[in-house]
Amino acid sequence: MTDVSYVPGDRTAIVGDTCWVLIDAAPDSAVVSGIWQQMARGAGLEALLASLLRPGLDQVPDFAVLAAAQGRHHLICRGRVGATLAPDGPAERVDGNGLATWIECRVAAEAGRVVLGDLPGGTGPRLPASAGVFLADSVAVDLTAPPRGRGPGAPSAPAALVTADRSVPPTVRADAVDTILARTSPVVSGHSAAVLPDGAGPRNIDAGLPQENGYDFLFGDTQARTVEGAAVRPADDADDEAGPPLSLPVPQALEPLPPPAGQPAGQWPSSPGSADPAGRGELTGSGGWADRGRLIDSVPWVTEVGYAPPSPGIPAGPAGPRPIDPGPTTVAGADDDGSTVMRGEVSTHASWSAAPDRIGPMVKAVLCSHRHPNPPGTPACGRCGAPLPAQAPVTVPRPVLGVLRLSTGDIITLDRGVVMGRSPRTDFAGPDRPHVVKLPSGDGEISRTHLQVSLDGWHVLVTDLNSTNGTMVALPGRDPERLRPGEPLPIQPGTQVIMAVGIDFRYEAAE
Amino acid sequence: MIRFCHGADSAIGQVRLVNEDSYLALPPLYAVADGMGGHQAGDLASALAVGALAARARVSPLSVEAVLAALDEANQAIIRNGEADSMGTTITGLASLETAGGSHLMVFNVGDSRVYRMAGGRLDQVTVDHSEVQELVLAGTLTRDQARTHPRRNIVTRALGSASALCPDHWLLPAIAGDRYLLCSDGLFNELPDDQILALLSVGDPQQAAATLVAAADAAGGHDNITVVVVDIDVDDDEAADDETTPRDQLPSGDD
Repeated sequence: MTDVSYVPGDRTAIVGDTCWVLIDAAPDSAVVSGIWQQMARGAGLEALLASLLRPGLDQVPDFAVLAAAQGRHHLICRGRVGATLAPDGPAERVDGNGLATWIECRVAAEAGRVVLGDLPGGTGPRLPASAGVFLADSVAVDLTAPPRGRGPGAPSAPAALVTADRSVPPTVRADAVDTILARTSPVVSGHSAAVLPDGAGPRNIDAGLPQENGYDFLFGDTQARTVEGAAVRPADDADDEAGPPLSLPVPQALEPLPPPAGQPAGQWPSSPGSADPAGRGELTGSGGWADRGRLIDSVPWVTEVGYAPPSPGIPAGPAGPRPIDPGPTTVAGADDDGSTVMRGEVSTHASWSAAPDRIGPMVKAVLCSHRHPNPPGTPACGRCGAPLPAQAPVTVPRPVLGVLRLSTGDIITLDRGVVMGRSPRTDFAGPDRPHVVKLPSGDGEISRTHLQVSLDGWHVLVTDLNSTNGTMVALPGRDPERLRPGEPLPIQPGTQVIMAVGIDFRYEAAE
Repeated sequence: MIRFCHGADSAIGQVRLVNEDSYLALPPLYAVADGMGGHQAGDLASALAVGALAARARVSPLSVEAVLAALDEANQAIIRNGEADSMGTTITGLASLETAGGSHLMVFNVGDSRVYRMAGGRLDQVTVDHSEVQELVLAGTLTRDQARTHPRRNIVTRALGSASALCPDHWLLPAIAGDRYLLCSDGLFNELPDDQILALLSVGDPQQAAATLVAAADAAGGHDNITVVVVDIDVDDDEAADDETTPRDQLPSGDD
């Protein structure tokens, strides 16, 4: 028997035996009546969703649906209604806010309870719910009792009284590897507090963590949640019966997408099999051949997620979840967590004086009042014209030094060096890798790897790479001169570099 | 004209409870994003990022400016959505551009997801991680292999959603028939050394390679979400790329 309780409120709860809905619609509305009838009929989740969507996607109210099917639970949330998994433990909030369609998750029994709607505050009454339709702010479903029946519907006997909340201690997984944006500011506290008004979960962990690097944020993410797919799930999810969302209206972002592999259409022809070499030549239409693979993989919010129970003592190993640290006292140190963290200063300052990212080349600069970097000794800002007062130069990441405007119409950004030619070598590696640009052959006059433009500090230099026919350079106001092969020549904005008749470029300063 | 063939796969791994990676495989645009932030924020951030790119993929031909503008839009969208719910994402990807000289690829990157190019039996990392360990590698303090297991390997120095001024890296590369590109989140390369990635990437069609790589990283520990997009490049024969350069004095006289 599944235990269900609710907190009275303004939304409409529709409670069945294996399906629970909280929806932003009036209890006497057609949509609620449709869902209730589907449930009474014992209809599947797919039919229930179809009923919800009948008025059209833009007319569908926000909802949260939890349904049991074949021993598993599916959660679908649209808009702001949302749901919270494992509210007694790591408390993972799921909602479709900001999504065009909805978010779908699989929920494992380990989640304990699922609360549809907002987490109840401390004051309101929590009442036992039996099958029916009533006004509610939230509906709590205890998953630890196995659902009866196989279909999601079938309202039947009243559910038993809700049992006492299980008390699950907050968990921290010391070896969790996540990608987390850490900041020096105490983002995590507010973040957690907003989601977990009762203070349960990760917020409690903060005190046990080093604060100076903002690592507390790492653990704001330690949440139990089972998410399987979203609006559209992979077609090869074999053990999923009939993948209901696949038959439903697709979100806007999907409209221009091709049909599944094997059904060439429109501008995205699909090859019949993945990377079938034989298919390549045949499918050279306007869009080229583009195998979609087995996944409906263009849906940005498709995620495939499994579940690791938030309890300690899970054996480690490649086949199973890693051990979960039971609490803050045993956190081995945030550095070992492996979570991706954003270095603090960079995240909070947009200006050049922010703690520099040292990945790219650095230059000494003087800054105008708009903080535009300029080479030391410049009288006025090259970008905005503001005068540059005397100041000690600072070290900043090198800004883009301008563009190369090619006679062919192409424009190349000088954020790094450039190698160009008819068929230029591409075996560059490392952080100094240049842009590699293919040029028209110019009747064969252009050498395969013809020319290099390199950046050195604030300087732009051009080097002829021993090309067969050479390179001419016209500095501003000067006649073209032949570039000496292999010798870098500094050039100024306005310089024209000619590699062949009709194939040249002009170096222009950054705007 | 450039043609693509792609495959993609993603797995939550053995440790994470949420898959915060998102990917886009919508020719002529491919991307992998690795979201950061709890409470779904990471999922949302990475989804917003690839969503902003997807909107641009419909516009053809792509330009460097269009891709950078899409990244900027994604950044702003994440910052807007993240006001109450701090979040961010890495993003890396591949877009095709047409220039007068022929088809090019634009590889772009913010953060520590990666784009590799496989050509001539070699695996070559195109992107440069925006991470602390990458800085140590560049400084010669760490080897590439040490960086894979360094405790601070996951501290990124740039991300979408972290600052209003975004500094994406990008590289232009000629599109060369037979090249295979690998886009992946750090869940792949933190589990597998380069030589194993190369070995697995070399086998099968893009979908098979993607699935094999994800499965191998998952089996190797799966400490993080693993997302892989594999893209094969084919290009129409381009004239004269392999010809010898003609010395100018041997050209038929005329317009010189």
